[in-house]
Amino acid sequence: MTPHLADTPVLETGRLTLRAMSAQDMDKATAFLMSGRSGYMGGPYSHADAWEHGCHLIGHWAVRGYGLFTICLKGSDEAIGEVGPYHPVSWPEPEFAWGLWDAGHEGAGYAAEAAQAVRAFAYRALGWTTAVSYIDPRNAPSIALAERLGCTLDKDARLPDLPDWEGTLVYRHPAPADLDLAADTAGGVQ
Amino acid sequence: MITNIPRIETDRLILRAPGEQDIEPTIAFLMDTKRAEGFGTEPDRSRAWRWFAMNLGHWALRGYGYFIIEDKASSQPCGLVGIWSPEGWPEPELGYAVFDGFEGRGIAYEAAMRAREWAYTDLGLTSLGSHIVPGNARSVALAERMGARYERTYKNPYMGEDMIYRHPSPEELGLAPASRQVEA
Repeated sequence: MTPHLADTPVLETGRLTLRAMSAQDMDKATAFLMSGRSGYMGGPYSHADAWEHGCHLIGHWAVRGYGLFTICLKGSDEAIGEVGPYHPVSWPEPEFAWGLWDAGHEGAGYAAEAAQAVRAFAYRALGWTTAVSYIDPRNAPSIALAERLGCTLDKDARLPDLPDWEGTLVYRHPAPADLDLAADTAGGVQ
Repeated sequence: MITNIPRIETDRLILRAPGEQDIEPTIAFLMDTKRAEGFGTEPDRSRAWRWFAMNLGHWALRGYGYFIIEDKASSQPCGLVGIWSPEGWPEPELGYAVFDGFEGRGIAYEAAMRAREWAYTDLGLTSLGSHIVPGNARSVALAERMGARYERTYKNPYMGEDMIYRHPSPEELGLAPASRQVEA
């Protein structure tokens, strides 16, 4: 039997289905990473590097037990973006990351809807008590989204010790208590 | 969270799924510019961790990837061996590397021989090469000891000039895919 990710959660919102990024998303994920739209996320990447990056997002699930979800419009299994808990080794703390892969899906509130769902998932099911989002200061749509999600600038937060990260904004998400979200001690995932 | 990565034993070694305990030894190897030069080095912890996660994604995408080689005697991870075919590779490769402190004991040979057999029988691959950067005499010697012969040179997106050493075919090794063995 082929090795595969198993028992990954699926989150439902009013308009969206969020599921673990997987093999079927690679073509669209690499196309996004090779496009100018990934410019605030270390891109655009070469084809080989985009594949490696997308592949690591899938592997993140295996290493951490959680990772980025792909955003699908309800009724479709075609991903239009990514959202979710992300914690590579060089991050000083866990992050909520997001990205819509196509400009055509901007402005409809999909990213906010998806980010609220994964934040609730991380606070309830993963037991996270805080998280940040790292945002390029030129990325106005992402800053607007962070503010819409109730995040505030955290000037004291540590940045990843990586080249070219100076000036990156750290937005701190509201704590679970501020959102009336408590960790699900039964361990179930809603 | 990822299922069905096989666990295979040889006399002295276990080939198994990468786990939490293998992250730091793997990062240390990948950032060792001398030791990992022929395997492909990573410039920092961030990139090295990305490779570790990418390998698990590679298993999920391709159905194969790099095993951790565990030394039975010490229970320590002592290297990487497996089948590798990320974007930009012309065909699946049999790759191998041994971590610091475990060289000179035939570990790579023992692991690579077993991984090759697994690839031919369990994966059903019909041909395998090992891709070796010019000047990596140690890796060439191992490939030749396994019966592989120089075939051609191509341009790898990460390594640049890369020589392909062609391994003996399953038929030449008397190996048939497992499914055919069952039918026979």
